[in-house]
Amino acid sequence: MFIAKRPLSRLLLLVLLLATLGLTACSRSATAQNWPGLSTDGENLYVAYGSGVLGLEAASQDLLWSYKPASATLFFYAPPSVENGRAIVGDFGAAQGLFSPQTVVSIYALDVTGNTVQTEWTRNDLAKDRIVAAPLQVDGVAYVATADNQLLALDAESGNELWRFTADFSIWAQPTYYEGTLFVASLDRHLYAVNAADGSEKWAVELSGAMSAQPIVNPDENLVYAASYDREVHALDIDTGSEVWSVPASDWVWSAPALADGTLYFGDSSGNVFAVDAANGDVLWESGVHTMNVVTGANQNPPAQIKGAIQASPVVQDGVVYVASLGNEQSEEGLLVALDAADGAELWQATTPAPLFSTPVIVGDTIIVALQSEVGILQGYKLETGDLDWSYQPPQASEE
Amino acid sequence: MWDLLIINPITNALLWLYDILGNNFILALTVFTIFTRILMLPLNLRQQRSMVKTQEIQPQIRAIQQKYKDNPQKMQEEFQKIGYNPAESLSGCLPMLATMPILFGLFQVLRLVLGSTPQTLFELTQRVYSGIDLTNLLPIESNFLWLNLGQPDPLYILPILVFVTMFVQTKFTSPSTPKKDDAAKNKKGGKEQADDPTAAMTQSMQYTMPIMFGFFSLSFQSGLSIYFVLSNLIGIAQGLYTRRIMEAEKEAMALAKERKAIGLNGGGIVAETEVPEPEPMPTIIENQSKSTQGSSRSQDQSKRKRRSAKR
Repeated sequence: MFIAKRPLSRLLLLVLLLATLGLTACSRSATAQNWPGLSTDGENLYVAYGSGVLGLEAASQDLLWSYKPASATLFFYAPPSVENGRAIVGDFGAAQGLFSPQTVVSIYALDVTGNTVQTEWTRNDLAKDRIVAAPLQVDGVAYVATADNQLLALDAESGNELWRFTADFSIWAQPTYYEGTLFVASLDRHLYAVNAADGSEKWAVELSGAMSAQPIVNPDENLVYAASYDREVHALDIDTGSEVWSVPASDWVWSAPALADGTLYFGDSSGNVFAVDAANGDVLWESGVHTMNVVTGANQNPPAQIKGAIQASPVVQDGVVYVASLGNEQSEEGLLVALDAADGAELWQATTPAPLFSTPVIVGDTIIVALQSEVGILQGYKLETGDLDWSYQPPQASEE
Repeated sequence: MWDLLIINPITNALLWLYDILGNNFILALTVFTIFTRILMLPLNLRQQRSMVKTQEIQPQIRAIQQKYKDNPQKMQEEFQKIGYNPAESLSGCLPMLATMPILFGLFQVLRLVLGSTPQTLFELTQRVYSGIDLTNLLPIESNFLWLNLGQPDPLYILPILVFVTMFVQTKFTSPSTPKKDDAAKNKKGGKEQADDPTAAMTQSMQYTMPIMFGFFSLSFQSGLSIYFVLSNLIGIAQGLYTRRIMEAEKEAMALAKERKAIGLNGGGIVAETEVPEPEPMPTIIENQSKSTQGSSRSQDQSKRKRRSAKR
């Protein structure tokens, strides 16, 4: 290779080298970002938080198990699915080196009984793009949705592929199973009803916006609800997919509605929370999560008016709707709000050290949120008052 | 500031093009590339002209450097006399430096627009101008032939194309350099060539840039590699066109000088286009003319013609 002999040439080469190095350095870090994935079985917590997946006892926050693959370039953000001691997780994939740029995505089955992790099987030949949605395990079958448009049905025991269903675009939402049918929402704007036995399509309905929210089934009304970026929540007939009613929101509805006691609760990207009659879509109340009472970072008084977009699904328990919001963009603090399910009146709010993108879970008398924060990846708040109960940060590799 | 001036405008420009071009991302990227090349056209032309001009007067420059190496003040004055400004060599890098923000910006924008994670989509929603309805644009089609535009090319075809097109482009947009055997014929000439900063830079760029960008295209998103390829192809066309224009200008100038020299011209028309001849450096130029490239040789030939015509 020709070597420049003049300072000008060297300077130019240096600039180019730095530029390209900068670009490639960006490429490594930029492809692996998302918010943590959190799930629970009612007793334990399971978190995919980037470099690994872990399980911990919710009450004591004792680490039960932790899984980190050998490759440091692999990241996990899809909430793990744990059934009968088997955790199914999928990663975001990684290129196999500079000279093998093909992205390889893996699905893992981990035996997490006891306090150890053992890999039951790994499949790295099924998907070519990230696994964003939480896998679903039903009757010994693992259903895994991928960003390369696939819904895979795998034998949970062996990892063997049973069938695959292909949508027109990425699937970011966990499928919903109901009486032999899987309801699958895709970014391709379609809600699919797929036969869980063989992957054949029962029906498909095109809406006017992409969907990243898990469909919610209401057997009592024979409806399946689909929240969409078209700023509406649609109620479709379970058997035919025909639209029964739809209710408008103010902005995109990113996440699944919560169904409780005949009422459907959902939030939108403008920070509004809606409660509608699950049978006919009549709006019961509407409340805005726009006001932040305590802004710890900025120490503002009076309360700050915020955008507080809602990305996560609401959680409902005992007549209270818990809403996780992105909170204050300026101070980069999130907001956890408890609303009265009857009328939407605010009961309490808690400021979290980072915006809340992931759907919280409730275990016992604590609501747990997952964060992208140095303070901790998990925080538990008391259901009654919203007071911070605990923070959890995974141990460093040396401590494990 | 970076987001405000680079990321957001590029993001919205691409989304707007995607919208009006029938939701075709490759078309949007092509139009965007053409637009950026047009934007850079004046700088590119200036760079090309500057490089050719500097190369042509290289013998005089070296002679002055040699003669006044202990007197920088005088050296500058002499440079001015022959119309050479050392700072212009630096300005030759301007087009490349000016495209860097677009390059960096596009890299980030493709990650945002074609990124397949909820977080990148959320970031995208924060950057979209009010006139663009993202709801109607999603999902943004990221597949083209065998490529996922948000991921590297798994078949290595794009990195090869990036290398080849960039190499050809650099060849076309750089002034021609002397052949190796020409330099070998005259050792002194070879040394002078190596000491020539413009030629050194040109030659190093001809090889290092394509290799570097081809190499890094292995891990770039395919969309960015396609931008490189398109940009290079436009650069090749532009280089060819500029070269033809400059050759035509040179021929016209030489013809005008000859006409003037043999007295065929009335004086008025040529006098307007005539460029002042650099101050002669007889002893040094005599030696250097053996080793300098074709353009300098043709200059000397035309001088000899003029002398014989005068005789």
